[in-house]
Amino acid sequence: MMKWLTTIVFLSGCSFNAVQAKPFVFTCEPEWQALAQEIGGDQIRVVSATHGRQDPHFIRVKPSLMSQIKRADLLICSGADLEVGWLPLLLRNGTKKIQAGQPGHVLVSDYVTNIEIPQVLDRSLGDIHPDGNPHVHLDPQVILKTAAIINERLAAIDPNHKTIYAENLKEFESKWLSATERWKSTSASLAGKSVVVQHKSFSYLLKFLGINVLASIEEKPGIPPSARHLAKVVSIIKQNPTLAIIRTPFDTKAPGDWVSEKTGVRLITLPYTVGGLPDTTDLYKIYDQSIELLSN
Amino acid sequence: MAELLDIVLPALLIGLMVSVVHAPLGIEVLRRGIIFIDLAIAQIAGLGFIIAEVLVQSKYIHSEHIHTEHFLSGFSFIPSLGALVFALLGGLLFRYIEKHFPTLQEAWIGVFFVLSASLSILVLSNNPHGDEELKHLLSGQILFATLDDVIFYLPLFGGIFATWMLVPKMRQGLGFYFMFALTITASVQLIGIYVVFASLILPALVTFGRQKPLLYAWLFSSFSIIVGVGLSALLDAPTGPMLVTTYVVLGLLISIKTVIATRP
Repeated sequence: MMKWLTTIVFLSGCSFNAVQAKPFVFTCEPEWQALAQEIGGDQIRVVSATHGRQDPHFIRVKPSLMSQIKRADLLICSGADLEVGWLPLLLRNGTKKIQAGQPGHVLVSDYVTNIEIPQVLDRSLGDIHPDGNPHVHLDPQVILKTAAIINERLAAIDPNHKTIYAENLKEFESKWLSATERWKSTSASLAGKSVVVQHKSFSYLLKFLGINVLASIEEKPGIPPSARHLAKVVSIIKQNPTLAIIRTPFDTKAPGDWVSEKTGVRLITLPYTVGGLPDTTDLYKIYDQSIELLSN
Repeated sequence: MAELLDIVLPALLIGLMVSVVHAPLGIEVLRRGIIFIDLAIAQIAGLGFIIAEVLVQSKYIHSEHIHTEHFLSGFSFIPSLGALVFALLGGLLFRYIEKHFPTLQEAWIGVFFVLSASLSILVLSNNPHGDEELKHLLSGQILFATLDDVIFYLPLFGGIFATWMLVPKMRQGLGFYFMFALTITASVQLIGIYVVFASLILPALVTFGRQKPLLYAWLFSSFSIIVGVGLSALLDAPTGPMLVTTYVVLGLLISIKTVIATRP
């Protein structure tokens, strides 16, 4: 009996190891999962800690998450404090190679210039995000830059397949560049218009589209806006032609609904990331859908 | 399978360690009828944590200092100290209320529970990560625990347990509130406010009126922890809520059994 048991355990252990040969990429958000998939293709396994309808500020801790972080060869997250509420705790249980300072630890914000970095760090000014706006994936240039970094890191982890990664990168780059041009032309009519946002999640996208942000309703995620702030937002809208109020799929409903009702300005939900809306199946769709929803 | 065990083992050990101390404390809490004291103390500790953190952050502007040094392995010294100080003050407050307003004690405990919750929101309303701070403080993430945490907290829980068992005088008066505040401050950061409540009250409820309530409370609690953690591993469900559900379901099953058994 024991002999059979040992054999079975040994064999299943072996097959487990054979499967483990693929680089395991742990991403914090689905946009990086999608991007890693574009570069790595079938040569890698990639998971995301959050899915498109979840707020990346928070994490739902399940045993599978712990199992994944213990197997990760490469970590890709947005950084700039977006995941600061949970990533440090999670990393305590992670592999050595994905710890800060290691090549397996990629915080995208470390490689790009964040916008909305406060000029003066003074708590009395309220919302202090010292590293700037973390929602960097909504800038097409950032996606390009990160794709190159992913290629570089995958080639280092898995040199046997580095030509495949390089080819995938080249293909992705050309597709993405032509898509970027397409977006620039289809969104031309939006440039110069103004919107109100529920939270500053879309700053990079709006900058890319040339759209101006008049105000944000809920400055701190989860902390309800004060009456005075809401009154200010409403008065700003009344004084300026506003294209729309925009929010993410995971923003709370009430603040946006309230402002929309008070001002008559339409409220739209943009996908924000892969999986945000039912049809947001890849990175391209994020931009396609956003432009379409804003233009109608 | 071995991998799953490796993942949940620290959570299992933390759960068992905490439940050992919570069993006698919970029995005492139920006996005194001050059920919400654990929620209140946890929330007050949370407020202390946040205030201390905000004060420190105003000196070190970059938030990295606080967030990468987290409370689970005690590196975030000042906020943890703030939590403890506030919890102890809360204990003093509740002792005073017990002495002077014994019949209204529970009501006042509830009052200070909502007060500290509201103050926490007010204090954090200028903090960019306000909601996350609150949520993580109170929901605890037992799965994040490592074996180092078990070793770190063992002396604390061991010490409290030894004091409770060997120094009966500490179970009355200020001693009770002191030990309670100390325990809850630590355990809420490890397992979160709901699991703290469940592990305090359910074992006491289930063994109420029995012979040897403490022994049965330990048995019930340990069993619930093992089943709860096991289920969360098998079903890949968040461990905290699974533990609470397990405690309650098992508690109800045992209570029903007792009710049926004692029918005339």
